[in-house]
Amino acid sequence: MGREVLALAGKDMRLLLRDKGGAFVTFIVPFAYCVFFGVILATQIGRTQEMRIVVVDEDQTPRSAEFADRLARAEAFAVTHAARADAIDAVRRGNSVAYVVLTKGFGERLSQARLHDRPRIEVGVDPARKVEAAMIEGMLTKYAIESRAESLVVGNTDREIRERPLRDWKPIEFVLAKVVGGQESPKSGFHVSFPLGIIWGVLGCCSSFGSSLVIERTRGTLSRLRMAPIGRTSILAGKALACFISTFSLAVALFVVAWLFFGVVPNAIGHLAISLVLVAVAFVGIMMFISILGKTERSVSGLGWGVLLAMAMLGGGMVPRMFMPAWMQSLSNISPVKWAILSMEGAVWRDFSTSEMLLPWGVLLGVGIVFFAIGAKGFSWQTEGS
Amino acid sequence: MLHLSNVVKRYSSIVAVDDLSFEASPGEIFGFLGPNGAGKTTTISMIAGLLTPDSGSIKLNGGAGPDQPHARRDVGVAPQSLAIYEELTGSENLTFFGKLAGLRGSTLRQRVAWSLDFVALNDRRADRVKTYSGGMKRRLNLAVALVHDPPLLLLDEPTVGVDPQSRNAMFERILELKTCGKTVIYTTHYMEEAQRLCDRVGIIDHGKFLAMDTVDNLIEQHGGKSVVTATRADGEVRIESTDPLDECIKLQQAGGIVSLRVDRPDLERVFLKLTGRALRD
Repeated sequence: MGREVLALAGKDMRLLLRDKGGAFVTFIVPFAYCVFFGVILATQIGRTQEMRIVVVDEDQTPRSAEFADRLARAEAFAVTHAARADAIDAVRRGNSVAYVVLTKGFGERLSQARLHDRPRIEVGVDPARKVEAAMIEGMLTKYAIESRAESLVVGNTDREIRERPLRDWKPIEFVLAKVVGGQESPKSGFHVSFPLGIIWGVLGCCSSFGSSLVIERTRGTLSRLRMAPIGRTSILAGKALACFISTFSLAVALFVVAWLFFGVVPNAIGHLAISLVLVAVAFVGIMMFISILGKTERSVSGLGWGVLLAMAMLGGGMVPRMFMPAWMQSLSNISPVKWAILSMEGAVWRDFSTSEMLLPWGVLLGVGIVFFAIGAKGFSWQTEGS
Repeated sequence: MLHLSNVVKRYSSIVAVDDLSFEASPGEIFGFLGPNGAGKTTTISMIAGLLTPDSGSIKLNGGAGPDQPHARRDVGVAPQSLAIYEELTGSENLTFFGKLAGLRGSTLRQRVAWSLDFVALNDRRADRVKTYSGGMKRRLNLAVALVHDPPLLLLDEPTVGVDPQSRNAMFERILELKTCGKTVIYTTHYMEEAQRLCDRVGIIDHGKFLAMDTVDNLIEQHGGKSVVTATRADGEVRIESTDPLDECIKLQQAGGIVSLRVDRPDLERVFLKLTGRALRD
């Protein structure tokens, strides 16, 4: 079976490369995307309208709860609450921009009448959102001043100011925590744009091979393959292998270009290799699923791109998730594109540990298996009799 | 080589093939004739393993059915619709299908070269199929069926859209295959092809054989008499006879003949007599 599958895959690879339009969409467009958005993102990373933050209230006092409530009411933030570990995890995974820990004694110090007894807040910001760190600090300062204004006693503050001038004074003490172990943020827009560009290449491969199964059926070559001394499993395996090789080699080629010419050095090569394999596996499954969306080449191509574009839109393939509103970031969990990008970013600059990589890897593997099974079961082998 | 026994295939309420039985031997060309929708392609599809009979059995060389992938190694199919990859070259198409049939290395190269030579496409072997003429594509379609040297060939209307020169060349090639001991199942709408090529012919309609025999026997049994048409100064005379030569001599002796024409019964007449003259979809 192996040699026949290789022959089938080789044929499909050759057909893909001979189709100039298809090869352009599959290989050149993603590269253009990487460069174009890389340049744009270089100036855009960190800008957003609504920041999703996780508040960790370790103080559990009425004053700390009141402060957390102020943050929740702020238009600039979309606030959720969690324990410290989960909050850190959410930021590391890119689900939240930052976490804010109201440490023990926060409420008591917030109520202090003395200027220099400052409440302590720990902040951890997504490494991709450097600019937001300053914005968050500014916002927290504003709300701290509002909260503290009610407690400060004029006589005390006058004396304190005489003893210790207000130069460099802050109403709260910030501790900026490191969210990831190694690299703190993507060094350039290309670190973000290349995973996105690769996704577009993957989607192109997915669409091309999904349509090619239908083309085989409508042009009669599927019948000929079925009449050959090979089983149906081999036919689908050949198509899947060709799609996998195309997708994987495209991703590898783009990362090599990114590395050599754009300075995108992955943090964990092994993780990246596994991620690229699993991204290819997931989208081979989706390719198989797409092939059953219609009976003609046109319908499969149209509906297939419809599904793929929806995945890309939701998953951050068109606009990076960091620029999405909070509700859309939550919705993006249903898109395989989100997990594909996250698995690549986790290996390139988010510095995910192996255990942190398991979730995106698991999702991608599951997507591949489930979608392939649905596609293989629903695929029509029907040929017409006389 | 090929044995069909009581094969039935239905499409919901329509019986496409109705209790069909026949055998074909090595070195035999069996013609499969029938109007559109008669069940020819359904039968060919079942022999090729594309469709499964609802009942009955099909046995290929060695007794296995075409549903077994290994048994399909003994079958070469040239389908009615061209089934080749237009973006690949002729040589690449043959190499690909040869690999699927299990050929490797020098055997594969030899078979590809032989097949290209057999259908006279050697000089275009490196050109993409999309640059071929219709006739060349047909010939390549046939070559794909031959590349793995199968003992049984299913040729489903292989000469559709082919010019007379190419068609004549294909006939010669098919007769060569017969002398090599291949079994050929040949479906066609062209009666003169069947008459020229086939050792036996089965005429099928509504999924059943109406007649099956050698061409000569079919003509003798169902063709009727020859018609001698004599044109004289005073008009035309038509005489039906089993001995047209004798009739011609008699007419000549009677004198006054301007011209004589003899219409011998042929397979087309047999076909129309058995299947009727009503138009089919």
